[in-house]
Amino acid sequence: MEQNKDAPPKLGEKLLKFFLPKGESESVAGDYEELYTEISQTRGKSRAYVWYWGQIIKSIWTGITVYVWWSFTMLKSYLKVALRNLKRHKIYALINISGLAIGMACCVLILLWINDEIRYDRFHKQNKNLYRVLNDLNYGPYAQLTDGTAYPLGPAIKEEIPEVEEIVRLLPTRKILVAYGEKRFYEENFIFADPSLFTIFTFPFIQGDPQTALSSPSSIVITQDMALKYFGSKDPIGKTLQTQNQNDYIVTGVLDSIPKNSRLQFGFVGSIERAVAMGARTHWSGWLYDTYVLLQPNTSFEEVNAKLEAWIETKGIEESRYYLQPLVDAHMYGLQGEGAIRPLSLFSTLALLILMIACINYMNLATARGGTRAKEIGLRKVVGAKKNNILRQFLSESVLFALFALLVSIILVALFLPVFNQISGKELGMNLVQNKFLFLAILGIILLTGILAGSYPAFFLSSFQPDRILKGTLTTKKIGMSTASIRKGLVVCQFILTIVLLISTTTVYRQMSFIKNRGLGFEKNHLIYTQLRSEGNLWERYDAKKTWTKYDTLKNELSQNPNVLDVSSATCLPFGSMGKEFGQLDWDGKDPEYQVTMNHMAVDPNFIKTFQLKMIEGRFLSEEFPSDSQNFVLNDAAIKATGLESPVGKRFRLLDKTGIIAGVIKDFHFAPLHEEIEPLVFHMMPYQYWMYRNYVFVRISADNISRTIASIENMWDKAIPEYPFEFHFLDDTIDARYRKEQRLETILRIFTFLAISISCFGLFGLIAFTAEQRTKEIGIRKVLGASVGNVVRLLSKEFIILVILANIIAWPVAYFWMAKWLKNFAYRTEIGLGTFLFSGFAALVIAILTVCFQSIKAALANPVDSLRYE
Amino acid sequence: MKTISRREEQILIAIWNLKESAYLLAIKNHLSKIMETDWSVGAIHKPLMKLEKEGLVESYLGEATAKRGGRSKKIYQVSKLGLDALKTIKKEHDVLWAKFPAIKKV
Repeated sequence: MEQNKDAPPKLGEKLLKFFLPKGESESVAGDYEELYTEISQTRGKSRAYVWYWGQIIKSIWTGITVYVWWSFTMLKSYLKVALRNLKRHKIYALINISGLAIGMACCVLILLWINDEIRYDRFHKQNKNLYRVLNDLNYGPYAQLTDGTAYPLGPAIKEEIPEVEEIVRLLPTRKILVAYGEKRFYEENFIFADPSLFTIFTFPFIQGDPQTALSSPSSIVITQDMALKYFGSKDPIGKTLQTQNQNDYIVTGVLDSIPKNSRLQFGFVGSIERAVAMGARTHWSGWLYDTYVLLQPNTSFEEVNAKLEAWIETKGIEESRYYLQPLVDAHMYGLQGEGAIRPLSLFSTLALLILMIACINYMNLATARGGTRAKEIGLRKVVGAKKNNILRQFLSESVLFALFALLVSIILVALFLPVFNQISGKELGMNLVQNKFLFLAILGIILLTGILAGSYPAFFLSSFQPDRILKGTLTTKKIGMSTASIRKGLVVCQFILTIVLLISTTTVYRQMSFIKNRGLGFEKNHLIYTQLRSEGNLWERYDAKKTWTKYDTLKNELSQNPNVLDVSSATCLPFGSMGKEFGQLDWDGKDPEYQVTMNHMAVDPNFIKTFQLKMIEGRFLSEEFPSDSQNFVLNDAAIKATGLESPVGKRFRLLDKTGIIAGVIKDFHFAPLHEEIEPLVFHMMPYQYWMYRNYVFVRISADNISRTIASIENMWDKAIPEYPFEFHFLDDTIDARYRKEQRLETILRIFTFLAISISCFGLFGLIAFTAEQRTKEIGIRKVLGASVGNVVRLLSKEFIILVILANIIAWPVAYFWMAKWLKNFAYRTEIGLGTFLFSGFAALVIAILTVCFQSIKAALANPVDSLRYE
Repeated sequence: MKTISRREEQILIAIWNLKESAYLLAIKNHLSKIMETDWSVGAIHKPLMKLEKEGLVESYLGEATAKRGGRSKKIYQVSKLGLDALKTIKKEHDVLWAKFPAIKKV
């Protein structure tokens, strides 16, 4: 057949066919084409074209108005009926809305948190092209993925790889004393950086010029907060700040406060040249620096990584593999899985589960009580409603409930946000409307909840057959019964979740108290420590000798206070960072091939007394034996690592010290219980290479702690006036290492509480409904002589069986989850049967209490009331 | 008998008159000519669909022309039911109109 020369536009034809009824779209489209051809032949092509499109637009418009008008009209009716129902059955509405509101409040809180986390580092204008350099280090004990890179790396890659536009190196410091006149504070947020810091990142200046602010080694840029802290209302520019009582810096710029959601947090920025001048390591094995890279726009960083790898190989660097990680991923994924994503995914799962429990309540109550709506559905169907309309009706009803719940949940969120901030360690605000992501996400939660909760009841209710309903063969009770098994299944699901949470909370609680109560091998209470000089990096050691010499003076002073029991010093802090050595170790009969990493710390002889450690063999290092300055004491783990049979008296070498093993000390914990106790070597203070990390430990008596500390401060100020006194309790420091677990414990506890409450709401609603349905039955039973106990048993029995069933399923699930979690700890409590029995029993008791309250009420009712209308 | 509207009645008669050439456009043109108004396609199609659904008309696919982009015409014919309906209407009309005086020019 020949082609029609005057064929109508293709797109129009497709649209037309879309609107035509399925069976005849072909022939009618043909009719239209014929008419089009006719018009185009008689009145011109353009007329035909306009006519054709006019027809289409008309049909679309009519379609829409008819559809929208009628949908709206019906929606109005649906909502009206929903509101009437809500008003008539207030208890059920209360159970549903409060449960959903709590579930949604959890979700909204977690959403606020997610929103905060994903916006990390996004405020940098060039964030899409910013990367941090990671270092996959393979160097003895330091084999790990780190962000520490070498000094020459940055400039080298900028030169070698053309896609790299700019780099910046940052050198963090640990804690530095910063002084302006009388104002002296220890600061942890002092960094050194290349001047490019201010050009590639977005840190706006309030005063000073970003281009030249760091051009001189003596310059320093501070943030607004720090300017206020040190200079008050005075103009900070040109003022001199002194660090460590010896290094002067002139303020050349003031930055706006660093946003909270920046991974780079600092208050002071010195020039990196200054750090180098002071002795910061600049060779290829000094992995002290963070390197960030700005790539040219639209560059693939994978390609740059490939180039980087090839270049590292030609350079012959063996111990490091460098590669780029997008800046915005750095916060989310971290280095060793410590990124934000893990707690977030756990807590969002928990929040969704809570919401799920609430949705199950809605489903159960809606289907159980479906009978009360049966007549309405039957009538609607008789007047012409199709299954689809009924479906839509009940879905819009559940979305309406979700909407109400959301309003309540917003109030809950506003109330509990401060508490939540305290737990999560965040400072979240409620700007739900300004933020597009949050707004859409909350809209999503409403729809998700509405559909999740409403779809099953909607399908169930819309399948009623109108004739059977209206004839009366399909009674309310029959409708309720027909879904009973599904409802039971859902109740079991709720209680599985609840019991798993209960068991987990109990286990985590038990592990935490295990940690708290476990003897660490030393007495951690009433032990305070202070640093003889603030801990700096290797290159800031000039001052060490000066304060070091004052230790003896300080010690003598302190010993005169009767409340000071013991004083000692060491190079490292237990539960802080330890010195590690793996190459320069040797002992009698060591296999030259054998490699082991040992922790080591130099201590003074009083350490054993101050920490109350116990010896297994030999003696501790002592001033009475002059040769002990070269001797060692090893812990039990270290002896096991060496494999020595009778270790005391054997030769041992660590770094440049060679001596004998004077004694073996009993293992004690110097790291969190996640790890096995590692080998540890003690040697004598003073030790020249480590004296810059000098901790003083003071054991004080339990009485008058505040007075003792005040007097220690007094003595410190006399002995070492250059440095302000700062102290910590060792047990606080130890506790801080378990912050992650503590947070888990708190959050699990809250979620468990919510899960139990919402499940019980649901159970309460179900039993109330069952009792209402069986009023007459109960009345008859009582008339015939049933006791209250009989009736209570009758009503409660099935629910109790469900909770027991839930226990059976929940136990293995909880066991596997908790066994996995406990594997994080080398030292852990057992998951005993007791935990399971306790949790299962607790769930059962709570369920029984909920059920009994209602069933006793039903059982006590006077049968005359329920039967008199018969 | 099903009640049908005046429009449906007109369409039924048009189909009856047009015989084998009674497809959508032909019906439209036929009626437009008689009524002296330009009827839209939809105005015919919608009642046609209803008539077909109620079994008053039947349809089969007819010839295809190039003008139609090679698509078959859908040819309608009045079914037994439709014919009965027309007959009834005709009978009722005749009775109703019998007593009506001849319309004089006023």
